[in-house]
Amino acid sequence: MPEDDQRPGGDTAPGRWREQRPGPDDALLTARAREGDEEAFEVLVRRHGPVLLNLATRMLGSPADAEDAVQDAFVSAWRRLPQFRGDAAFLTWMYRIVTNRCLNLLRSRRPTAELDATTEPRAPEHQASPVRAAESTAAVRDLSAALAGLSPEQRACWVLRELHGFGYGEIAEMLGISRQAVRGRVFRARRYLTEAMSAWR
Amino acid sequence: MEMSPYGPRPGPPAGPEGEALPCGRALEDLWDAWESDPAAAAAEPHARQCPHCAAALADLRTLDDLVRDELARAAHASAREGDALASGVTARVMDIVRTELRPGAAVPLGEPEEDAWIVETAAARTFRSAAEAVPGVRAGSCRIVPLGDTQRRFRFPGARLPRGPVRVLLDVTAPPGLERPVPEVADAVRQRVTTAARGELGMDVHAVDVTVVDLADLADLGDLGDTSGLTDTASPGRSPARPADVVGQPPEDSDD
Amino acid sequence: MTDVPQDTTARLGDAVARAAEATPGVAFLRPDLTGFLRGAAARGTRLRRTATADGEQVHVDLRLAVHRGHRALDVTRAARTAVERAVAERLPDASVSVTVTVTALV
Repeated sequence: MPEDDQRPGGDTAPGRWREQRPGPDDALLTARAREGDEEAFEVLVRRHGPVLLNLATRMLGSPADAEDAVQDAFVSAWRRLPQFRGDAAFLTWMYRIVTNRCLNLLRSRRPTAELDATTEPRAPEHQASPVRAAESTAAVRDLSAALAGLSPEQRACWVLRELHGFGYGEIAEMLGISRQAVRGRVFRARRYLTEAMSAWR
Repeated sequence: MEMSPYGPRPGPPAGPEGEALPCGRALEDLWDAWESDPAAAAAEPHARQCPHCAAALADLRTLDDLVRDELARAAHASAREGDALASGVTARVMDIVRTELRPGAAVPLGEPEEDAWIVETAAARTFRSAAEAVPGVRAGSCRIVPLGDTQRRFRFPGARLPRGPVRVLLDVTAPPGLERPVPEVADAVRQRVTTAARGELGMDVHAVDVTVVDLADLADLGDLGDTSGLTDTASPGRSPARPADVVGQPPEDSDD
Repeated sequence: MTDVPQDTTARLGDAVARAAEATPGVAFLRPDLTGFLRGAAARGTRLRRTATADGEQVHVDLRLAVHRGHRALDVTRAARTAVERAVAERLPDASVSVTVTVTALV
């Protein structure tokens, strides 16, 4: 297995695995926001809001829920900034807060036993899908519907890796689980999704 | 070369799930090979002949195509409605943030016997802007402490600094390859800050400690205590330790 | 201690706030004082009247935002003078002290 943590994109997918890189500017803005400069914080919120909304929508399947989750995550970040030591980049830190908030929401939503990873995808929940019908192919709609068939933890690991470009180690740190556990979840998620989507071959 | 039933790449016999294809090849191995180099994975002698491997790779390719479609859709959407959504979130977040401001300590303005103050965040914003008037300079942390202090210390919200002269602790970055040497940049920043303190605020700033951080060091900006950057100090009435090559112009005393 | 009628205090607070707001360079007063003006008299710590042996003592705690382009210290001084004058017009025998804090530059 490849030892490098970052998923290699190769020349087949330039820039695919990182939607945004935190610039040095982020570190300066974070230092300011930590000292109570709300204008600096607003720049960070504006800059990173879209990608975090994207993540939350993919996790929760609903843009409205995603907006609430991201809003709460930013407010929580503002409150915790004075203690933020800057050992992680601001965006990575936000990814962690948003992911964990989404996981908690999904877990509280789903009191029943974890779905069996080998079951067929549920009936597509197009109305709850993050994807607007007019703008996406039926296949992409089905992909988002199939995501709902994954356990919250599998979904988090797969989305962070495949759609947001994080490495196993980064995801492990974000979720507070082992790297091997992340690999296992990505594997099971992919196993499920390849099967669910094989009709589109 | 001997062909193993698991293909040419020896390794763990199975993935985390211990799942192998009917041909014996571990599914995770096959996927890893594809991730490293899709073309090479498909061109492996075993994979070229094995229907199970071919089918597994085809499924993976299908999923991968869908992922690309989704990424393209997201990129397209974020350029339009995504931004509107994000603006709504930003507005609501900032409404809440503005009810929970952290203005920092109150810093004295004017003469020692006066009862005039400015909150630290407002003064810091002034000093950062002043520093950024120096070409290429960007300002980060900015704290204001009593002259006798050389580092930040915790103060309760709403606390007031003692009346008297203050020291500004300012971190800035300068791009590499700047034509001026770092000490000169620090000096220019110090003068701008001193001028702003006197002219825009009326604050008695007696020392400006400027830490110039390399852009390359920014990854470690979280802890600015021990950067490789230059820290030097200009303090009238004191004998600050500073490099001999720095021509610092001490701030004039604020006379009002 | 405080043996002055409340309505007098409210009117004094009103006059003080108007004097401060009219000072060149003052963008607005912080909600603390404004809230007091709107009848939130519980916030009276912003304007404290104390009767002493030789008269009355009035302390005003002023929090204001200053327009950029005005020197913050000069604005605090002008606001202090305006507030002192406003109090003196209504309570000529009172001694006045004013704490001015700039909470924002806008």
